[in-house]
Amino acid sequence: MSGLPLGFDQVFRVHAPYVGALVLKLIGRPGYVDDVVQDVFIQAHRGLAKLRDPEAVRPWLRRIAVRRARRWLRKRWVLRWFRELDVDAETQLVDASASPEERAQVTRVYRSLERLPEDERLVWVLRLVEGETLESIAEMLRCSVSTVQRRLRAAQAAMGERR
Amino acid sequence: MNGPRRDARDQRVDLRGLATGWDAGRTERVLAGVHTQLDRRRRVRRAALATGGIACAAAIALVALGPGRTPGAPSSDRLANAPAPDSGLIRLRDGSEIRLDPSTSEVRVIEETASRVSVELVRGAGHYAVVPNPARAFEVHAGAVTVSVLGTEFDVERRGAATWVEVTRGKVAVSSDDRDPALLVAGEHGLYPRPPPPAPAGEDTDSRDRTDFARGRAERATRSYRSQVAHRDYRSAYAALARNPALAGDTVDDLLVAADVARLSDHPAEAVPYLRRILHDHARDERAPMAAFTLGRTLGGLGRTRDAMASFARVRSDWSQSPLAEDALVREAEAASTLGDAATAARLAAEYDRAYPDGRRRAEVRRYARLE
Repeated sequence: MSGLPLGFDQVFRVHAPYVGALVLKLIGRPGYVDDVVQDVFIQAHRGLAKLRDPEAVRPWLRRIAVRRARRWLRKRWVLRWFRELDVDAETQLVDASASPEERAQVTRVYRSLERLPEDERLVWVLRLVEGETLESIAEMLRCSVSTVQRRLRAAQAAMGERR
Repeated sequence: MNGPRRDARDQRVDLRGLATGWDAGRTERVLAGVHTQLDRRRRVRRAALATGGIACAAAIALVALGPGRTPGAPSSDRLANAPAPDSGLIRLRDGSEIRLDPSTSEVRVIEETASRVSVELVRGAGHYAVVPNPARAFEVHAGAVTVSVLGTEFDVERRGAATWVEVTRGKVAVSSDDRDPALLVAGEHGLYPRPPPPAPAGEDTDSRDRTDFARGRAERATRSYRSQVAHRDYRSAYAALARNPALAGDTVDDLLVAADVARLSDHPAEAVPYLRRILHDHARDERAPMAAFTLGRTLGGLGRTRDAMASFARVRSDWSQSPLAEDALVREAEAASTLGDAATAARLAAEYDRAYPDGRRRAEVRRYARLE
């Protein structure tokens, strides 16, 4: 189906865990991760045939995942309005084997992130959790580097106040 | 303007406690969802194309007929009768094709994965040209009849309660009852289910009724189990599996589902035999490393740390190029640390440094080895 050595199913099996982890970090709602991952790969299905370089697959899936996560964050208010957001999200967010300190850190971060505008939230997670460069964040979010910097400053200020 | 650039690098946030775990069962579940969505989109697109084609044909016919012609008058414009683009042809991902007359026939793709393609002839007839692939099972269900094939060309047609099968090229197996499947080669054909063999002396119709009843019950149980799995009702599915172990099946897909059912219904110990069967019977399958990794995690969760270590070690030794090899090494080091085996943990940490010099989990492995 593509110029890659792997077929779609194999690409999915190799990259789904990474995409799933990234989406969880971005949206912070374990109950919706599978849906977003599914959307990412449905969108990727057609474009995969055009990719020739296996090294390009992950960055490309990352870009789609970030945009899909942004879309999900934007429509979150609808879920909240219908009380569809999973109430156990906070407990499911933490790994069962996490230490009390790690548990507290995750809970604290995501409580603060919930109050940020989605673009600031995405920039903050991509930069400070994922370690992405400002340039790649700008490319993923289709904005300028200075906009990314401005959003990062705003997010850091808000997170600093709330944490 | 360089402020955030420098600050961000210094202030990386560690979210190690985040539950980012993802296992093989979840992969297969989400992948099945992706395929279902893609199939639905394909069907909608095909239906839209067919509708558009019919509408275009009708419009062209109207134009060709013109105001002075009556609908019954012969037309010289052959486009009016041209079939809609793509109508009557289903092209599967592996290149296999199904041709049918959409006005009289209907074929539904039930499953389309790398290891299995399953289609149902709902009504009418279809011509199947299947690309040879020994690693993939290809099945056509028509009523009570199942046609299994590796690579061939054949026709299947519903004829009332029976099904007509005719082979153009290659070989197929047709199963429709408890007897051994009938093998048909090129040029052969037959109507199935076959008439029942004459009852041997002493056998009465009651025994046949009992066989039919048992078969019907088994089919109902399988349908119910699959529905419970699809609806993530793992407790009910596990109860069904405990009553009828044959539901677990033999394929990698079936066994992964059975292992998931056991794990997700809080019976992790029962998942172990299913995962071991995958490693024993399907060691060359692309999902075998995932089964080995999941087995390691499951055994670890059961407190069988030494067995878990062996399973993670197998991921690295048998599938060293697998994307799971790095995680398996980390898990192995974690297990060694749990057992208090500092020497092994240190050896694994050194191995991690060699194999993944830029690995993101280096600090974690070194922590297990008490090096940090």
